[in-house]
Amino acid sequence: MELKCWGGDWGLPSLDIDCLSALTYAYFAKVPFEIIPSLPRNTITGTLPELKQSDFIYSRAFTIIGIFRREGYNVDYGLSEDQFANTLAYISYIEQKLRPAILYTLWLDSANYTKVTRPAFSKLCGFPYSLWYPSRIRHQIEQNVVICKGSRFLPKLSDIEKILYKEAWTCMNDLEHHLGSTLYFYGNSPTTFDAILYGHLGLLLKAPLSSTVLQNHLHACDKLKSFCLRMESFLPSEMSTSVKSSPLSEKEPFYKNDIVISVGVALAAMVCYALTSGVLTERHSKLAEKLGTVRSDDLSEIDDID
Amino acid sequence: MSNLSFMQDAFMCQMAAAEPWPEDASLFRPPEGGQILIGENALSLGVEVYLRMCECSFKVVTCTNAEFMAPSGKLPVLLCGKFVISEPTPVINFMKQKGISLSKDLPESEQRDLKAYIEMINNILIPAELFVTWAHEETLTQITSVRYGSPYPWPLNKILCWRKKQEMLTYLEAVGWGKDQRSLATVQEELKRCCQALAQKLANKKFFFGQKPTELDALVFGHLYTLLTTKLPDNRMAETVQSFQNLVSFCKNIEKQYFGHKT
Repeated sequence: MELKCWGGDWGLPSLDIDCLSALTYAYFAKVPFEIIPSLPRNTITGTLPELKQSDFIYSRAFTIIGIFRREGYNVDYGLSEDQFANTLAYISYIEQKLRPAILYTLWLDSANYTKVTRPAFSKLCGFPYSLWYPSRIRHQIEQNVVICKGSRFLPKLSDIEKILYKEAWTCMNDLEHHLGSTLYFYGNSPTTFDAILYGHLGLLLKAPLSSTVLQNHLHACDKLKSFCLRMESFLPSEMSTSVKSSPLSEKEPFYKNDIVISVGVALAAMVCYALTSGVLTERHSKLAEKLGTVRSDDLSEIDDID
Repeated sequence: MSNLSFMQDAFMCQMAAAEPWPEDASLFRPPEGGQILIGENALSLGVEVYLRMCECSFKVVTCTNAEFMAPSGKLPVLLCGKFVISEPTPVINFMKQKGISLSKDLPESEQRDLKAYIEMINNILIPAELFVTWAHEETLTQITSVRYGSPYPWPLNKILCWRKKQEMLTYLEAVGWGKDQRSLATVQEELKRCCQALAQKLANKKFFFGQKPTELDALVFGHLYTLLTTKLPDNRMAETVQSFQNLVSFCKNIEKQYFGHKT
Protein backbone atom coordinates (compact mmCIF):
# COMPACT_ATOMS: atom_id res chain seq x y z
CA MET A 1 0.00 0.00 0.00
CA GLU A 2 1.26 3.45 -0.89
CA LEU A 3 0.13 6.45 1.08
CA LYS A 4 0.74 9.86 -0.46
CA CYS A 5 0.90 12.62 2.16
CA TRP A 6 2.04 16.14 2.74
CA GLY A 7 5.64 15.95 3.95
CA GLY A 8 6.62 16.52 7.56
CA ASP A 9 8.44 18.97 9.78
CA TRP A 10 8.26 20.16 13.41
CA GLY A 11 8.96 16.55 14.45
CA LEU A 12 5.78 15.29 12.80
CA PRO A 13 5.54 12.95 9.81
CA SER A 14 3.06 15.27 8.09
CA LEU A 15 1.91 18.87 8.42
CA ASP A 16 -1.67 18.28 7.37
CA ILE A 17 -4.49 17.32 9.76
CA ASP A 18 -5.94 14.58 7.56
CA CYS A 19 -2.59 13.13 6.55
CA LEU A 20 -1.41 13.09 10.16
CA SER A 21 -4.63 11.32 11.25
CA ALA A 22 -4.26 8.61 8.62
CA LEU A 23 -0.53 8.19 9.34
CA THR A 24 -1.06 7.95 13.09
CA TYR A 25 -3.59 5.18 12.58
CA ALA A 26 -1.31 3.37 10.16
CA TYR A 27 1.57 3.54 12.63
CA PHE A 28 -0.17 2.22 15.70
CA ALA A 29 -2.17 -0.38 13.78
CA LYS A 30 1.17 -1.48 12.29
CA VAL A 31 -0.09 -1.29 8.70
CA PRO A 32 2.67 -2.17 6.22
CA PHE A 33 2.74 0.84 3.93
CA GLU A 34 5.06 3.10 2.08
CA ILE A 35 4.82 6.80 2.74
CA ILE A 36 5.37 9.07 -0.24
CA PRO A 37 5.67 12.76 0.60
CA SER A 38 4.02 14.62 -2.28
CA LEU A 39 1.96 17.61 -3.32
CA PRO A 40 -1.74 17.60 -4.22
CA ARG A 41 -0.80 18.21 -7.87
CA ASN A 42 0.99 14.86 -8.00
CA THR A 43 -2.10 12.89 -7.01
CA ILE A 44 -4.94 11.47 -9.06
CA THR A 45 -7.78 12.86 -6.97
CA GLY A 46 -6.07 16.19 -6.37
CA THR A 47 -6.30 15.79 -2.60
CA LEU A 48 -4.05 14.48 0.14
CA PRO A 49 -3.89 11.97 1.77
CA GLU A 50 -4.33 9.46 -1.02
CA LEU A 51 -4.02 5.71 -0.62
CA LYS A 52 -3.13 3.41 -3.49
CA GLN A 53 -4.05 -0.17 -2.78
CA SER A 54 -3.62 -2.67 -5.65
CA ASP A 55 -5.39 -0.77 -8.46
CA PHE A 56 -7.69 1.36 -6.35
CA ILE A 57 -7.27 4.92 -5.18
CA TYR A 58 -8.86 6.21 -2.00
CA SER A 59 -8.86 9.73 -0.60
CA ARG A 60 -10.07 11.31 2.68
CA ALA A 61 -8.63 10.22 6.01
CA PHE A 62 -11.77 8.51 7.31
CA THR A 63 -12.14 6.41 4.15
CA ILE A 64 -8.47 5.45 4.22
CA ILE A 65 -8.73 4.33 7.84
CA GLY A 66 -11.78 2.33 6.77
CA ILE A 67 -9.63 0.59 4.13
CA PHE A 68 -6.94 -0.20 6.71
CA ARG A 69 -9.65 -1.73 8.89
CA ARG A 70 -11.02 -3.77 5.99
CA GLU A 71 -7.55 -5.09 5.23
CA GLY A 72 -7.39 -6.59 8.71
CA TYR A 73 -5.55 -3.82 10.56
CA ASN A 74 -8.49 -3.13 12.81
CA VAL A 75 -7.81 -1.61 16.21
CA ASP A 76 -11.51 -0.99 16.90
CA TYR A 77 -12.54 -4.62 17.35
CA GLY A 78 -12.65 -4.16 21.12
CA LEU A 79 -15.22 -1.37 20.88
CA SER A 80 -18.86 -1.96 21.73
CA GLU A 81 -21.53 -0.78 19.28
CA ASP A 82 -22.24 2.10 21.62
CA GLN A 83 -18.65 3.22 21.64
CA PHE A 84 -18.55 2.99 17.88
CA ALA A 85 -21.57 5.27 17.61
CA ASN A 86 -19.90 7.68 20.02
CA THR A 87 -16.73 7.60 17.91
CA LEU A 88 -18.65 8.87 14.92
CA ALA A 89 -20.39 11.57 16.95
CA TYR A 90 -17.19 12.83 18.56
CA ILE A 91 -15.35 12.86 15.22
CA SER A 92 -18.10 15.14 13.96
CA TYR A 93 -17.70 17.25 17.07
CA ILE A 94 -13.99 17.85 16.50
CA GLU A 95 -14.46 18.36 12.77
CA GLN A 96 -17.06 21.02 13.43
CA LYS A 97 -15.51 22.83 16.38
CA LEU A 98 -11.80 22.08 16.65
CA ARG A 99 -10.69 21.80 13.05
CA PRO A 100 -11.73 25.29 11.87
CA ALA A 101 -9.99 26.88 14.87
CA ILE A 102 -6.74 24.97 14.28
CA LEU A 103 -6.77 25.84 10.59
CA TYR A 104 -7.39 29.43 11.57
CA THR A 105 -4.44 29.49 13.97
CA LEU A 106 -2.07 27.96 11.44
CA TRP A 107 -3.15 29.68 8.25
CA LEU A 108 -5.20 32.80 8.87
CA ASP A 109 -3.45 34.27 11.90
CA SER A 110 -1.02 36.50 10.03
CA ALA A 111 1.88 36.25 12.50
CA ASN A 112 1.77 32.45 12.47
CA TYR A 113 1.27 32.29 8.73
CA THR A 114 4.23 34.45 7.80
CA LYS A 115 6.65 33.13 10.42
CA VAL A 116 5.68 29.48 10.75
CA THR A 117 3.22 27.98 8.31
CA ARG A 118 4.30 29.59 5.06
CA PRO A 119 8.03 28.87 5.52
CA ALA A 120 7.29 25.26 6.47
CA PHE A 121 5.00 24.66 3.52
CA SER A 122 7.31 26.52 1.13
CA LYS A 123 10.02 24.08 2.12
CA LEU A 124 7.70 21.16 1.42
CA CYS A 125 6.63 22.52 -1.96
CA GLY A 126 10.11 23.14 -3.39
CA PHE A 127 11.16 26.12 -5.46
CA PRO A 128 8.78 27.25 -8.13
CA TYR A 129 5.64 25.97 -6.35
CA SER A 130 6.57 27.58 -3.04
CA LEU A 131 5.83 30.94 -4.65
CA TRP A 132 2.10 30.38 -4.98
CA TYR A 133 1.06 27.11 -3.33
CA PRO A 134 0.97 28.31 0.31
CA SER A 135 -0.94 31.48 -0.49
CA ARG A 136 -3.40 29.48 -2.57
CA ILE A 137 -4.05 27.11 0.32
CA ARG A 138 -4.47 30.07 2.64
CA HIS A 139 -6.94 31.72 0.31
CA GLN A 140 -8.99 28.55 0.10
CA ILE A 141 -9.06 28.08 3.86
CA GLU A 142 -10.10 31.69 4.32
CA GLN A 143 -12.94 31.23 1.84
CA ASN A 144 -14.11 28.07 3.56
CA VAL A 145 -14.02 29.59 7.04
CA VAL A 146 -15.95 32.66 5.93
CA ILE A 147 -18.56 30.59 4.09
CA CYS A 148 -19.06 28.12 6.94
CA LYS A 149 -18.87 30.42 9.92
CA GLY A 150 -19.66 33.88 8.64
CA SER A 151 -23.09 35.27 8.11
CA ARG A 152 -24.04 38.52 6.48
CA PHE A 153 -23.54 40.34 9.80
CA LEU A 154 -20.11 38.91 10.32
CA PRO A 155 -17.82 39.98 7.54
CA LYS A 156 -14.69 40.55 9.63
CA LEU A 157 -12.21 37.76 10.20
CA SER A 158 -11.41 39.01 13.69
CA ASP A 159 -15.03 38.45 14.77
CA ILE A 160 -14.96 34.97 13.30
CA GLU A 161 -11.73 34.32 15.19
CA LYS A 162 -13.40 35.00 18.53
CA ILE A 163 -16.22 32.60 17.78
CA LEU A 164 -13.89 29.89 16.51
CA TYR A 165 -11.61 30.09 19.55
CA LYS A 166 -14.53 30.10 21.96
CA GLU A 167 -15.97 26.99 20.34
CA ALA A 168 -12.60 25.27 20.28
CA TRP A 169 -12.03 26.00 23.98
CA THR A 170 -15.33 24.43 24.93
CA CYS A 171 -14.56 21.48 22.70
CA MET A 172 -11.12 20.94 24.27
CA ASN A 173 -12.59 21.18 27.77
CA ASP A 174 -15.24 18.63 26.88
CA LEU A 175 -12.64 16.27 25.45
CA GLU A 176 -10.45 16.74 28.52
CA HIS A 177 -13.32 15.60 30.74
CA HIS A 178 -14.35 12.89 28.32
CA LEU A 179 -10.86 11.41 28.44
CA GLY A 180 -11.10 11.07 32.21
CA SER A 181 -8.52 8.85 33.80
CA THR A 182 -8.10 6.28 31.02
CA LEU A 183 -5.02 6.28 28.81
CA TYR A 184 -6.97 6.58 25.57
CA PHE A 185 -10.56 7.54 24.86
CA TYR A 186 -11.86 4.00 24.76
CA GLY A 187 -9.76 2.05 27.22
CA ASN A 188 -6.08 1.23 27.32
CA SER A 189 -5.30 0.96 23.63
CA PRO A 190 -5.71 3.59 20.93
CA THR A 191 -8.60 3.51 18.42
CA THR A 192 -9.68 5.39 15.30
CA PHE A 193 -10.92 8.29 17.37
CA ASP A 194 -7.55 8.69 19.08
CA ALA A 195 -5.83 8.77 15.68
CA ILE A 196 -8.12 11.45 14.32
CA LEU A 197 -7.93 13.54 17.47
CA TYR A 198 -4.14 13.32 17.47
CA GLY A 199 -4.16 14.42 13.82
CA HIS A 200 -5.70 17.67 15.04
CA LEU A 201 -4.08 18.21 18.43
CA GLY A 202 -0.62 16.93 17.50
CA LEU A 203 -0.31 19.56 14.83
CA LEU A 204 -1.43 22.30 17.18
CA LEU A 205 0.94 21.14 19.93
CA LYS A 206 4.07 20.72 17.81
CA ALA A 207 3.81 23.81 15.62
CA PRO A 208 6.37 26.44 16.75
CA LEU A 209 3.72 29.16 16.69
CA SER A 210 4.32 32.80 17.52
CA SER A 211 0.69 33.65 18.29
CA THR A 212 -0.28 30.99 20.77
CA VAL A 213 -3.79 31.71 22.08
CA LEU A 214 -5.18 28.33 21.11
CA GLN A 215 -1.96 26.43 21.77
CA ASN A 216 -1.80 27.77 25.31
CA HIS A 217 -5.20 26.37 26.03
CA LEU A 218 -4.04 22.94 24.94
CA HIS A 219 -1.03 23.29 27.24
CA ALA A 220 -3.45 24.06 30.05
CA CYS A 221 -5.41 20.86 29.40
CA ASP A 222 -3.10 18.44 31.22
CA LYS A 223 -4.81 15.24 30.26
CA LEU A 224 -5.08 16.11 26.59
CA LYS A 225 -1.45 17.15 26.54
CA SER A 226 -0.21 13.93 28.09
CA PHE A 227 -2.53 12.06 25.71
CA CYS A 228 -0.72 13.77 22.83
CA LEU A 229 2.68 12.79 24.23
CA ARG A 230 1.47 9.20 24.60
CA MET A 231 0.30 9.16 20.98
CA GLU A 232 3.59 10.63 19.84
CA SER A 233 5.40 7.52 21.01
CA PHE A 234 3.64 5.58 18.23
CA LEU A 235 5.24 7.73 15.57
CA PRO A 236 8.57 5.98 15.08
CA SER A 237 11.26 8.58 15.57
CA GLU A 238 13.71 7.14 13.05
CA MET A 239 10.84 6.96 10.55
CA SER A 240 9.95 10.58 10.99
CA THR A 241 13.55 11.68 10.52
CA SER A 242 13.97 9.56 7.42
CA VAL A 243 10.78 11.04 6.02
CA LYS A 244 12.12 14.42 6.85
CA SER A 245 15.57 13.84 5.44
CA SER A 246 14.56 12.19 2.19
CA PRO A 247 12.61 15.16 0.82
CA LEU A 248 15.38 17.43 2.07
CA SER A 249 18.07 15.60 0.11
CA GLU A 250 15.82 15.64 -2.91
CA LYS A 251 15.36 19.32 -2.46
CA GLU A 252 19.03 20.26 -2.19
CA PRO A 253 19.33 20.75 -5.98
CA PHE A 254 16.32 23.03 -5.61
CA TYR A 255 18.25 25.21 -3.20
CA LYS A 256 21.26 25.30 -5.51
CA ASN A 257 18.94 26.24 -8.34
CA ASP A 258 17.54 28.96 -6.13
CA ILE A 259 20.96 30.49 -5.54
CA VAL A 260 22.09 30.20 -9.17
CA ILE A 261 18.91 31.77 -10.49
CA SER A 262 18.79 34.64 -8.02
CA VAL A 263 22.48 35.49 -8.40
CA GLY A 264 22.10 35.28 -12.19
CA VAL A 265 19.08 37.60 -12.20
CA ALA A 266 20.85 40.10 -9.95
CA LEU A 267 23.99 40.09 -12.11
CA ALA A 268 22.01 40.53 -15.30
CA ALA A 269 20.13 43.47 -13.78
CA MET A 270 23.37 45.15 -12.70
CA VAL A 271 25.00 44.72 -16.10
CA CYS A 272 21.91 46.07 -17.85
CA TYR A 273 21.86 49.09 -15.60
CA ALA A 274 25.56 49.78 -16.18
CA LEU A 275 25.15 49.51 -19.94
CA THR A 276 22.09 51.72 -20.17
CA SER A 277 23.62 54.38 -17.94
CA GLY A 278 26.61 54.38 -20.30
CA VAL A 279 29.52 52.68 -18.55
CA LEU A 280 31.12 52.02 -21.93
CA THR A 281 30.29 55.31 -23.66
CA GLU A 282 30.03 58.24 -21.21
CA ARG A 283 33.08 60.40 -20.84
CA HIS A 284 32.86 60.32 -17.02
CA SER A 285 33.38 56.59 -17.12
CA LYS A 286 36.94 55.52 -16.33
CA LEU A 287 36.30 52.15 -17.97
CA ALA A 288 35.20 53.80 -21.21
CA GLU A 289 38.26 56.04 -21.18
CA LYS A 290 40.58 53.07 -20.70
CA LEU A 291 38.88 51.07 -23.43
CA GLY A 292 38.74 54.10 -25.66
CA THR A 293 35.06 53.63 -26.35
CA VAL A 294 33.85 57.09 -25.32
CA ARG A 295 31.19 58.27 -27.76
CA SER A 296 32.61 60.59 -30.42
CA ASP A 297 30.12 63.45 -29.87
CA ASP A 298 31.20 63.50 -26.24
CA LEU A 299 34.79 63.83 -27.33
CA SER A 300 33.98 66.65 -29.70
CA GLU A 301 32.22 68.41 -26.79
CA ILE A 302 35.44 68.16 -24.81
CA ASP A 303 37.34 69.58 -27.76
CA ASP A 304 34.90 72.47 -27.95
CA ILE A 305 35.48 73.39 -24.33
CA ASP A 306 39.20 73.21 -24.83
CA MET B 1 -23.90 26.56 12.44
CA SER B 2 -23.82 29.14 15.20
CA ASN B 3 -23.92 32.22 13.08
CA LEU B 4 -24.61 34.79 15.74
CA SER B 5 -21.99 37.46 15.93
CA PHE B 6 -19.96 37.79 19.06
CA MET B 7 -21.37 41.19 19.95
CA GLN B 8 -24.90 40.01 19.40
CA ASP B 9 -24.12 37.01 21.57
CA ALA B 10 -22.82 39.03 24.49
CA PHE B 11 -25.63 41.51 24.18
CA MET B 12 -28.24 38.81 24.15
CA CYS B 13 -26.82 37.12 27.22
CA GLN B 14 -27.73 40.14 29.28
CA MET B 15 -30.99 41.02 27.61
CA ALA B 16 -32.52 37.62 27.09
CA ALA B 17 -32.39 36.57 30.71
CA ALA B 18 -34.21 39.69 31.83
CA GLU B 19 -37.28 39.30 29.66
CA PRO B 20 -40.04 36.81 30.41
CA TRP B 21 -41.30 34.58 27.61
CA PRO B 22 -43.61 36.75 25.52
CA GLU B 23 -47.17 35.69 24.69
CA ASP B 24 -46.86 36.46 21.02
CA ALA B 25 -43.66 34.59 20.12
CA SER B 26 -43.89 33.42 16.54
CA LEU B 27 -42.01 31.01 14.35
CA PHE B 28 -41.83 31.96 10.69
CA ARG B 29 -41.43 29.30 8.05
CA PRO B 30 -42.23 28.89 4.37
CA PRO B 31 -45.55 27.15 3.58
CA GLU B 32 -45.33 23.37 3.74
CA GLY B 33 -46.05 21.53 0.52
CA GLY B 34 -45.59 24.45 -1.84
CA GLN B 35 -42.30 26.22 -1.40
CA ILE B 36 -40.31 24.51 1.33
CA LEU B 37 -37.28 22.30 0.61
CA ILE B 38 -36.22 19.26 2.63
CA GLY B 39 -33.33 20.91 4.45
CA GLU B 40 -35.40 23.92 5.45
CA ASN B 41 -38.35 21.80 6.43
CA ALA B 42 -36.13 19.63 8.62
CA LEU B 43 -34.76 22.64 10.50
CA SER B 44 -38.16 24.31 10.86
CA LEU B 45 -39.80 21.14 12.08
CA GLY B 46 -36.94 20.54 14.51
CA VAL B 47 -37.28 23.98 16.07
CA GLU B 48 -41.06 23.72 16.17
CA VAL B 49 -41.03 20.44 18.04
CA TYR B 50 -38.27 21.77 20.30
CA LEU B 51 -40.45 24.72 21.34
CA ARG B 52 -43.34 22.33 21.92
CA MET B 53 -41.14 20.15 24.09
CA CYS B 54 -40.19 23.24 26.10
CA GLU B 55 -43.91 23.92 26.51
CA CYS B 56 -43.53 27.50 25.33
CA SER B 57 -46.50 29.26 23.83
CA PHE B 58 -45.90 30.30 20.24
CA LYS B 59 -47.67 30.40 16.93
CA VAL B 60 -46.41 29.19 13.59
CA VAL B 61 -46.66 31.77 10.82
CA THR B 62 -46.18 30.59 7.27
CA CYS B 63 -44.96 33.22 4.86
CA THR B 64 -43.16 33.00 1.57
CA ASN B 65 -40.37 35.41 2.42
CA ALA B 66 -39.33 33.79 5.71
CA GLU B 67 -35.83 33.18 4.37
CA PHE B 68 -35.25 36.88 3.81
CA MET B 69 -36.36 37.74 7.35
CA ALA B 70 -33.65 35.59 8.89
CA PRO B 71 -30.64 37.47 10.25
CA SER B 72 -28.30 34.71 9.05
CA GLY B 73 -30.26 33.98 5.89
CA LYS B 74 -31.20 30.53 7.09
CA LEU B 75 -34.45 29.09 8.38
CA PRO B 76 -36.47 29.02 10.58
CA VAL B 77 -36.94 32.45 12.13
CA LEU B 78 -38.12 32.89 15.71
CA LEU B 79 -39.52 36.25 16.73
CA CYS B 80 -39.54 36.45 20.50
CA GLY B 81 -40.23 39.82 22.08
CA LYS B 82 -37.46 42.11 20.84
CA PHE B 83 -35.35 39.33 19.40
CA VAL B 84 -35.18 37.80 15.98
CA ILE B 85 -33.21 34.55 15.94
CA SER B 86 -32.69 32.09 13.16
CA GLU B 87 -31.42 28.52 12.91
CA PRO B 88 -31.70 25.78 15.54
CA THR B 89 -28.41 26.22 17.44
CA PRO B 90 -28.83 29.95 18.16
CA VAL B 91 -32.48 29.32 19.15
CA ILE B 92 -31.38 26.63 21.61
CA ASN B 93 -28.68 28.92 23.04
CA PHE B 94 -31.19 31.74 23.32
CA MET B 95 -33.59 29.54 25.24
CA LYS B 96 -30.77 28.46 27.55
CA GLN B 97 -30.10 32.09 28.42
CA LYS B 98 -33.74 32.39 29.33
CA GLY B 99 -33.27 29.47 31.68
CA ILE B 100 -35.24 27.09 29.51
CA SER B 101 -33.31 23.95 28.66
CA LEU B 102 -34.33 20.37 28.13
CA SER B 103 -30.95 18.95 29.04
CA LYS B 104 -29.95 20.80 32.22
CA ASP B 105 -30.79 17.84 34.45
CA LEU B 106 -28.57 15.43 32.53
CA PRO B 107 -25.24 14.38 34.06
CA GLU B 108 -22.20 16.10 32.59
CA SER B 109 -21.02 13.14 30.53
CA GLU B 110 -24.41 12.89 28.82
CA GLN B 111 -24.41 16.61 28.12
CA ARG B 112 -21.13 16.13 26.29
CA ASP B 113 -22.57 13.25 24.30
CA LEU B 114 -25.56 15.43 23.49
CA LYS B 115 -23.31 18.12 22.06
CA ALA B 116 -21.35 15.60 20.04
CA TYR B 117 -24.48 14.01 18.55
CA ILE B 118 -25.91 17.41 17.67
CA GLU B 119 -22.66 18.14 15.82
CA MET B 120 -23.04 14.84 14.00
CA ILE B 121 -26.36 16.13 12.66
CA ASN B 122 -24.69 19.37 11.58
CA ASN B 123 -21.79 17.47 10.09
CA ILE B 124 -23.66 14.77 8.18
CA LEU B 125 -27.44 15.16 7.98
CA ILE B 126 -27.56 18.84 7.01
CA PRO B 127 -24.98 18.64 4.19
CA ALA B 128 -26.56 15.40 2.99
CA GLU B 129 -29.94 17.10 2.66
CA LEU B 130 -28.40 20.10 0.92
CA PHE B 131 -26.51 17.80 -1.43
CA VAL B 132 -29.67 16.02 -2.52
CA THR B 133 -31.56 19.31 -2.88
CA TRP B 134 -29.00 21.31 -4.84
CA ALA B 135 -26.31 19.03 -6.25
CA HIS B 136 -28.38 16.09 -7.48
CA GLU B 137 -29.48 17.11 -10.99
CA GLU B 138 -32.74 15.17 -11.05
CA THR B 139 -33.97 16.52 -7.73
CA LEU B 140 -32.81 20.00 -8.66
CA THR B 141 -34.80 20.19 -11.90
CA GLN B 142 -37.88 18.24 -10.80
CA ILE B 143 -38.34 19.51 -7.26
CA THR B 144 -36.02 22.24 -6.08
CA SER B 145 -36.22 24.74 -8.93
CA VAL B 146 -39.99 24.31 -9.19
CA ARG B 147 -40.57 24.79 -5.47
CA TYR B 148 -38.01 27.40 -4.54
CA GLY B 149 -39.23 30.07 -6.92
CA SER B 150 -42.92 29.14 -6.81
CA PRO B 151 -44.26 32.25 -5.00
CA TYR B 152 -42.60 34.65 -7.44
CA PRO B 153 -43.38 35.69 -11.06
CA TRP B 154 -41.34 34.45 -14.01
CA PRO B 155 -38.02 36.20 -14.31
CA LEU B 156 -37.61 36.59 -10.56
CA ASN B 157 -38.17 32.93 -9.71
CA LYS B 158 -35.40 31.82 -12.06
CA ILE B 159 -32.99 34.47 -10.84
CA LEU B 160 -33.57 33.73 -7.13
CA CYS B 161 -33.25 30.03 -7.69
CA TRP B 162 -30.04 30.41 -9.67
CA ARG B 163 -28.56 32.67 -7.00
CA LYS B 164 -29.47 30.27 -4.21
CA LYS B 165 -28.07 27.36 -6.17
CA GLN B 166 -24.70 29.08 -6.60
CA GLU B 167 -24.63 29.95 -2.92
CA MET B 168 -25.44 26.41 -1.86
CA LEU B 169 -22.95 24.80 -4.23
CA THR B 170 -20.12 26.97 -2.89
CA TYR B 171 -21.23 26.13 0.63
CA LEU B 172 -21.17 22.41 -0.11
CA GLU B 173 -17.77 22.76 -1.72
CA ALA B 174 -16.49 24.54 1.39
CA VAL B 175 -17.65 21.81 3.76
CA GLY B 176 -16.20 19.10 1.52
CA TRP B 177 -19.48 17.86 0.07
CA GLY B 178 -19.08 19.43 -3.36
CA LYS B 179 -20.51 18.00 -6.56
CA ASP B 180 -17.18 16.61 -7.70
CA GLN B 181 -16.16 15.48 -4.22
CA ARG B 182 -19.12 13.18 -3.55
CA SER B 183 -21.77 11.24 -5.37
CA LEU B 184 -25.28 10.32 -4.28
CA ALA B 185 -24.01 6.85 -3.43
CA THR B 186 -21.35 8.14 -1.02
CA VAL B 187 -23.87 10.54 0.49
CA GLN B 188 -26.23 7.65 1.07
CA GLU B 189 -23.45 5.65 2.68
CA GLU B 190 -22.65 8.56 4.96
CA LEU B 191 -26.33 8.92 5.87
CA LYS B 192 -26.50 5.22 6.65
CA ARG B 193 -23.51 5.47 8.96
CA CYS B 194 -25.08 8.42 10.73
CA CYS B 195 -28.43 6.62 11.14
CA GLN B 196 -26.63 3.56 12.43
CA ALA B 197 -24.99 5.62 15.15
CA LEU B 198 -28.29 7.29 16.03
CA ALA B 199 -30.14 3.97 16.10
CA GLN B 200 -27.45 2.55 18.36
CA LYS B 201 -27.68 5.52 20.70
CA LEU B 202 -31.46 5.34 20.80
CA ALA B 203 -31.63 1.54 21.26
CA ASN B 204 -35.00 0.69 22.81
CA LYS B 205 -35.42 3.84 24.83
CA LYS B 206 -38.26 6.26 24.30
CA PHE B 207 -35.90 9.21 23.83
CA PHE B 208 -32.15 9.40 23.25
CA PHE B 209 -31.36 10.15 26.89
CA GLY B 210 -34.02 8.14 28.70
CA GLN B 211 -37.59 9.09 29.46
CA LYS B 212 -37.36 12.83 28.85
CA PRO B 213 -36.91 14.54 25.49
CA THR B 214 -33.81 16.65 24.81
CA GLU B 215 -32.66 19.04 22.10
CA LEU B 216 -31.23 16.10 20.21
CA ASP B 217 -34.62 14.38 20.03
CA ALA B 218 -36.19 17.50 18.56
CA LEU B 219 -33.52 18.01 15.91
CA VAL B 220 -33.26 14.35 14.93
CA PHE B 221 -37.05 14.16 14.63
CA GLY B 222 -37.04 17.21 12.34
CA HIS B 223 -34.51 15.66 9.98
CA LEU B 224 -35.62 12.04 9.93
CA TYR B 225 -39.33 12.81 9.74
CA THR B 226 -38.70 15.08 6.77
CA LEU B 227 -36.53 12.50 5.03
CA LEU B 228 -39.15 9.81 5.65
CA THR B 229 -42.15 11.77 4.45
CA THR B 230 -40.82 13.78 1.49
CA LYS B 231 -41.23 12.27 -1.94
CA LEU B 232 -38.13 12.70 -4.07
CA PRO B 233 -37.23 11.46 -7.55
CA ASP B 234 -34.56 9.28 -6.00
CA ASN B 235 -35.97 7.63 -2.92
CA ARG B 236 -32.74 6.12 -1.63
CA MET B 237 -32.54 8.54 1.30
CA ALA B 238 -35.96 7.59 2.66
CA GLU B 239 -35.22 3.90 2.17
CA THR B 240 -32.00 4.26 4.14
CA VAL B 241 -33.82 5.79 7.11
CA GLN B 242 -36.64 3.27 6.83
CA SER B 243 -34.27 0.37 7.31
CA PHE B 244 -33.79 1.45 10.94
CA GLN B 245 -36.95 0.32 12.67
CA ASN B 246 -36.37 2.00 16.02
CA LEU B 247 -35.76 5.38 14.37
CA VAL B 248 -39.01 5.10 12.41
CA SER B 249 -41.03 4.28 15.52
CA PHE B 250 -39.21 7.07 17.39
CA CYS B 251 -40.48 9.52 14.75
CA LYS B 252 -44.01 8.12 14.99
CA ASN B 253 -43.99 8.43 18.78
CA ILE B 254 -42.90 12.05 18.74
CA GLU B 255 -45.40 12.88 16.03
CA LYS B 256 -48.20 11.35 18.10
CA GLN B 257 -47.10 13.03 21.30
CA TYR B 258 -46.44 16.56 20.05
CA PHE B 259 -48.50 16.89 16.89
CA GLY B 260 -51.40 14.72 18.03
CA HIS B 261 -54.06 17.08 16.77
CA LYS B 262 -52.57 17.25 13.30
CA THR B 263 -52.89 13.63 12.33
